[in-house]
Amino acid sequence: MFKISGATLSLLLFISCNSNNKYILSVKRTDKQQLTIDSVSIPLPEHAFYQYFTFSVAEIAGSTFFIGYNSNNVSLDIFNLDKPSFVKHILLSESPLFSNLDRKDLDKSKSVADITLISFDSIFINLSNKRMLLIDSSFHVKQDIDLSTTRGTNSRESYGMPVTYSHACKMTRSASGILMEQIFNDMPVKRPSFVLLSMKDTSLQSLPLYHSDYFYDKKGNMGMLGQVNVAEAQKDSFLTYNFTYESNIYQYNYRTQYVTAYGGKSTLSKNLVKPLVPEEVKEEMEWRIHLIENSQFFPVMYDKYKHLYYRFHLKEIDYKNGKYFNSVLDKELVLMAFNEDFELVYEEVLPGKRYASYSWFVTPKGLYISPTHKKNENADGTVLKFHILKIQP
Amino acid sequence: MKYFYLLACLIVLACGPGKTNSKEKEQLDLYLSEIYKVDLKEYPKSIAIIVSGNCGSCTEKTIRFIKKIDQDKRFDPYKKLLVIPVNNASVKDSIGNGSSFRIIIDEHQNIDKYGINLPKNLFLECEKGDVVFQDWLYLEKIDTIAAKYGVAL
Repeated sequence: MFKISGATLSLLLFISCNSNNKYILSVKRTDKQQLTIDSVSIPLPEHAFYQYFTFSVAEIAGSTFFIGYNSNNVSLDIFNLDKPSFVKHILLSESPLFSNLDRKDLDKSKSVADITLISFDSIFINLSNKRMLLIDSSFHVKQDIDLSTTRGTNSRESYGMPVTYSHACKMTRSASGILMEQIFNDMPVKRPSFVLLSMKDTSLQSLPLYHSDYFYDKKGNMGMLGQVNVAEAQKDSFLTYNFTYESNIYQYNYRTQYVTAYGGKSTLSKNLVKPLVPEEVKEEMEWRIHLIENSQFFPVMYDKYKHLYYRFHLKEIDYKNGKYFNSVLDKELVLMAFNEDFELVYEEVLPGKRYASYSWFVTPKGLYISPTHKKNENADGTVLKFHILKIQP
Repeated sequence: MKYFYLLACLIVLACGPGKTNSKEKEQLDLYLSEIYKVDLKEYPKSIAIIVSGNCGSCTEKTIRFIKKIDQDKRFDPYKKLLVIPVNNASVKDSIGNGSSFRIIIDEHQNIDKYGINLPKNLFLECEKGDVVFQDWLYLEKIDTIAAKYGVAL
């Protein structure tokens, strides 16, 4: 009979735990900075929302403008965050291109999947991940690309479907085109995660960037946490990206084409999502429990004004809570901030059930976040409100 | 002595649970009793349907089934409950006014706390609070459940 001593068992457990540690890079801590919170509220006109999940922010003529997709009204709503005031609706419903969309905005294949505001002459709209439109603020369509007809520039490479979603993998404009994620049917085969869409000739060019080793080693079995993350706020000439399932942060230099991996390790939560093998799932509920009981890392935003990187993540929580149960909405939101060298300068849990996930963005005034968590009973539906988080020495 | 053990075993078997309720039913009981002061044990017969919080879980066929149960005289003796997550509150409009179901819209999102925000719609038939039939009200299962209750869809 095979016998195992307590000491051997401990050693095996230690080795088994450490075998996953090889995937996680550590982070150097430096002097901790302080968080202060300010706020801004903009009274809402008729047909505007108090909460936008598909949005973009840009500095135009010295002011910060916010543009959000309003699925009820089928419009793009523009706000000046500095004044602060509502500017205008761009009524997309006036065009047949935007008819028959999902007014609840639950199905992004029938909705505005993403927006990128460059200027009032250049607003990119990813319509249902089927068309890429370039419009101006008077709703003149300047360019319309059918994404199903885009072709890769390297004939030896296979290309997937270019997609973006405003929350996780945000389309961002670089010197060479619009950055998009590419989706393949044969995941988790190792294929480039990103493409650049050229607006000049509608061609696609793959970037040599992939999911992490952990993803491929575990055959992509990350439950509902297998996403690639890209934020709108990027450092010039760089693409900073990460994954929902691990704490590492990756930075691609467009000029040198090198990738540097940094440790974004949290001291407050787990840093790696446990695999969930679909064939071993007995009840569908296990998918949701996996989502609740694992941490979830969000996109890394660069603050070019303060030379900091910000990243939020949801801390794992037990599904069972005595005789009750926890949901995703009960997970605590953690804010981490890193300096230019990716040294940790701030990490704290934010007040519970206050902030909505994916409602954050960077402006010269700080890190904006919407206090419209679904369980926030103080959320005010009559204003577009943001808390402005400032991290400083 | 061995007769004592035999007797003890028989007593244990005799006192064991006659009907076991599912974990979903136990969670539903807790939810209904703590929030709505409803105890299904008080009703000789009851039907409970918990609509899933997943988007698109309530298909036209599901609504048709609920309406048939609602309007069929054979189910008049039943206490009928329909629990709807707030994000699917529009299901109530599809059922229409004057329903014989007690419709509970989970406005304060308590169904997560009570563990009954399920991946699929759940159908339960109970007698004095004990489950006599339970199944997912989903896709082809809707036909199976409808056939069991003699409901033409």
